This record gives sequence, structure tokens and C-alpha cells, in this order.
Amino acid sequence: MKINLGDFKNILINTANTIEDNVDYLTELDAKIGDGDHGVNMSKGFKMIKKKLSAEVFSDIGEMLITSGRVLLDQIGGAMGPLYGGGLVSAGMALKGKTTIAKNDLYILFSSILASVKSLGGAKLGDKTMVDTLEPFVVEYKKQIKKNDLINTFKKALTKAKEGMESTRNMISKVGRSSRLLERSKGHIDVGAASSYLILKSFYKYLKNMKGAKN
Amino acid sequence: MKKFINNPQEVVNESIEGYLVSYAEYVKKLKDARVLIRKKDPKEPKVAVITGGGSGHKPAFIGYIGEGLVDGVAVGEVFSAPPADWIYKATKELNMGKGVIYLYGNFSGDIMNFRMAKTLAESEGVKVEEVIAYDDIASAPKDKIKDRRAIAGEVIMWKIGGAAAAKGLSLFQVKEIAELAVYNTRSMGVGTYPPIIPATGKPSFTLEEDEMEIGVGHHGEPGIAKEKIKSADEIVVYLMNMILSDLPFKSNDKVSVLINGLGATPFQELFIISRKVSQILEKYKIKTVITYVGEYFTSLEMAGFSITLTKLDKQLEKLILAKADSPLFKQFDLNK
Repeated sequence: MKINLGDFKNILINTANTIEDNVDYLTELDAKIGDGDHGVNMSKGFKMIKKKLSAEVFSDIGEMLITSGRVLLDQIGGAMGPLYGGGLVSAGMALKGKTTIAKNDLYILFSSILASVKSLGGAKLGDKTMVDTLEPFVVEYKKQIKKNDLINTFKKALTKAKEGMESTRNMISKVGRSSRLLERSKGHIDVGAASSYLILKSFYKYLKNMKGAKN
Repeated sequence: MKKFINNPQEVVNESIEGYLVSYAEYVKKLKDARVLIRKKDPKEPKVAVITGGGSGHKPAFIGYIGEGLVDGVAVGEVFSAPPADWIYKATKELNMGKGVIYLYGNFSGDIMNFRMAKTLAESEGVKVEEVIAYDDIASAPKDKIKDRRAIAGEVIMWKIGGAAAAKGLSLFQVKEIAELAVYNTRSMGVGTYPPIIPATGKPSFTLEEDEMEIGVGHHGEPGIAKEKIKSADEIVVYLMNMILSDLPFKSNDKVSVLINGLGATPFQELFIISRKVSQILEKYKIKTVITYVGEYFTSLEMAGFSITLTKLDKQLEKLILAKADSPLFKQFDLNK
């Protein structure tokens, strides 16, 4: 099963729509222990990506990722601009020249994003951040990749991502604005962990509905 | 939400447009980035001072673009850091060959974007240094002082750092002085009503009618406790005890005092705060060199205030008393 340029554009546009549909959910989560701007910023950023993707032609998937990342880096700011933007750019560099991608390339994509997020934000597993969603996903994906097809690999990794996101509820925040709350940061899911999970879930939904998904 | 706005998404842009026409003699905007810079170049080349951060803090940050203060500001969305690209463009535009200093507050989004901009500018040969303010004592214990967030102490950092740059000091000297100003500054605040972010229309925290948030942050971040509201004097005594013991400030120290309204607290009340602050300082024989009372770093329509004390040595005293002239911060040269 291969994902071509058109599919990948659709995946990114679907992701933008998913974020758009969940603005209120993300805003509410962020308001609990942050300042409430995550949903709005994410939706603004992904709307801009959607607009850019719809208006331009791309020669490969790497270029599409780099362009998307640059939109966030150049226009959005906040914490999510550098984190998601930098992540997409580094994934794009890793997939430069690819017009189709398959199971192994998706591992490269998500592990590049994870590496970029960790080095820029300085967060580790257990710090109550998006790393708690992304790292379990990437680790499980690698574990399943030899035994399963793309859909099942992704599905199993997504389950771990969800568990990871849920696990942030009982964590004490170690980085970012909520880290000053110490004990008071407990009891709520981290909004970055939540938005990362939404993106992965939306990615999976598209893969599942693709033609030849069973191959 | 009851605000004088047109479109929640355009609040920052429209506000900047209004600011630009109101103070056209002081500021202009870069063409391809939401960056405001001083209208006229200084007579002599100097270290360029750049700051930036989220919007919603007027007069911070753009109100401080002017002589003896900052040269340029990258303007983010409400309560959200500006993108690295804009900070980088400000850096390239304002560098006069003597280097650029970033003076900003300790927030993870700002740090990531300013550091990315620094890397970009340095790769093109621009000398860049940064000083990060961390004055809010309620946001982390003293043994984790660098984890503290910034509140109104940033204004003191700009005033002193900006004056040092205006004097023609080197990049290294300006950095050292701004660092000392931050090191000697302590703040703490209290909030009674939350700010409402225009894009969401929702209050950033909730309090019962008779409650206050002690140690509230500049974006409505929770502080150390919610308590029943008390008299102004009692609240000031509580905050001053925390502030004085944190540095600690000692008798015969010279200080500057900043009583900062967070957006919806009347000046009348700020002066009641100032009255008690000065009584306490007098009791401890701490000498006040200068007192600022007003709105210096707000949080939209949050009600509340913060107290900022800065211990001044001879050099810092001279710099804080130096001339400053920006649209929203004006001061004669108060050095004799």
C-alpha cells in the first residue's frame, strides 16, 4: 500500500479539518492549565496550510511537508509554531524527493517529528507534553512494522498514542506554561498531547478508507 | 464577551493599524512582518534592543519603542509568541553593526521563537545576545529561580537595558547590565477578575465573586492560592513580605517601585497600594529612588495589580533615571 502525492495532500487537508472541528475541545483543555490559545492557534495555522496546499503544486511529499512547516514557523509563533512547524520541516527534509511513501517512510516521518519536538522543546516522556503521545506511537510503530501491514501497524501504534495522551491526565507538568502549576496541573489531559493524538487519528482514518487498504 | 472589536481574528492587526496612525512620528511597521520599529535611526550607531511577545499587554510591548527604551518589537497573537521569522527580520533591519540584544520574558513559546531567530541571524553574521526576565516570585521557588515566568519586571529590564544601549555601551556591557537588572528584580501580583481572550470569548480563569488569585500571571495563569479578598493594606503586606524576603531586600538598599495595574483596576486603587508599599519600605529603611504607578504591562481586562521592586546599585540607578521617550513611556532625565 502506497500513499501518493494526492493522498498525502488529502491527509494534510483532513488534518486541518479535524483541528478545525476540535477548536472548542482544544481551547477548553488549554484553558484548564494553560492560557487557552492552543485551539485557536492550531486552527489558524492549519487553515493557512490548507490554503497554501490547495493553491500550489508540489513535486514531492518532502516539499509539501517543508512548505506546511514553514507556514507554521513563519506565521504562527507561539509554542506550536516552532514545535509542529519545526517537526514538519524536519520530516520533509527526511522525505525529500519522495513522490510516494509507504510503511517505512511513515516511520521516518513520525520519528523525525518526534526528534525535532524533543530537541526544540526539551521535553522527555512523562513531562506532560505532546511527547507523551508521539513517543509511544513511534516506539510501537517500530515494534509492529515487521509483523504487520501499514494499517495494522498504524492502528496498534495509535492505541499506544491514545494511552499516552490519557496518561498525561495524572502527570505533573514539567515544561511549558503549565509547569509552574506543579500539583495543580494534575487532573487534565495536556492539550499538546491531545492535538497530536487528533492528528494521528485523522491520519489513520484516511489510511483506513483508502483503496487497497487491506493490502 | 463585551468588547469594542470588529472581528476577533483581526484584533491585533486593527489595533496595530490604530497605533501606527496615532504615533506616526515614533513608529513604523516592516512591510513583510508584523514588526514595529522606531521611526528614526539614532544619531550614533548603538546596540539594537528588540523585544516581543504575545499581544494583549498594552502598553507592552510596542508602547516602549522609543529613545532610551527598545528599538523594535515582534508582535504575536493575543498571549502567544511571535514567529521566529519576524524576530529575525527585526534583527536584520535594526542591526547597526554593534549587535542586537533580545530582552524578553521567560515563556517557552517566546524562548523557542527568539532562539530560532537568533540562530538564523547569527548564521548571517549578526551578533545577538539575549536576556530573559524571570521576576514573578509566585511562579516557582527560589531554588528554581530560572523557571519563574516574567511579569511587570520586564518593563524595568527594558528601561535599564534600553538606557544602557542608548549610552553607547557595548553588546556585552548591555547584556551584563540587563542581567543584573533582572537578577535584582522581584514581582508578585494578585488578580480579581480574569482577562477574556477575544478569539475564544472565554475568561482565562474563574474566581468566586469574593475571591482573589494570589500570584496570578500575566495571562491569567493560576498563582499560589485562591483566597477571600482582603483589604488593600492586608494584601500589600502579604505581597511585600514575600517580595522583600525573596531577594532579600535589606535596610539602606535603594530601590525602584513599580505598581502595575493589570488592565481593569482603577488608578485610585493603585495609589492606595502605592501608599502602603511606601509605608512598608520606610519602615524597613529601604530608600525609594523612583516610583512608577499605572498600567505598564496589562493583561487585557484583567483586574488586579502587581508590585515590582528592583534593587539599584549606582549604575542601575543612573540608568533607570535616564531619559526615555516612547509613545507610552516618557521620562525626563532625572539624574542631577
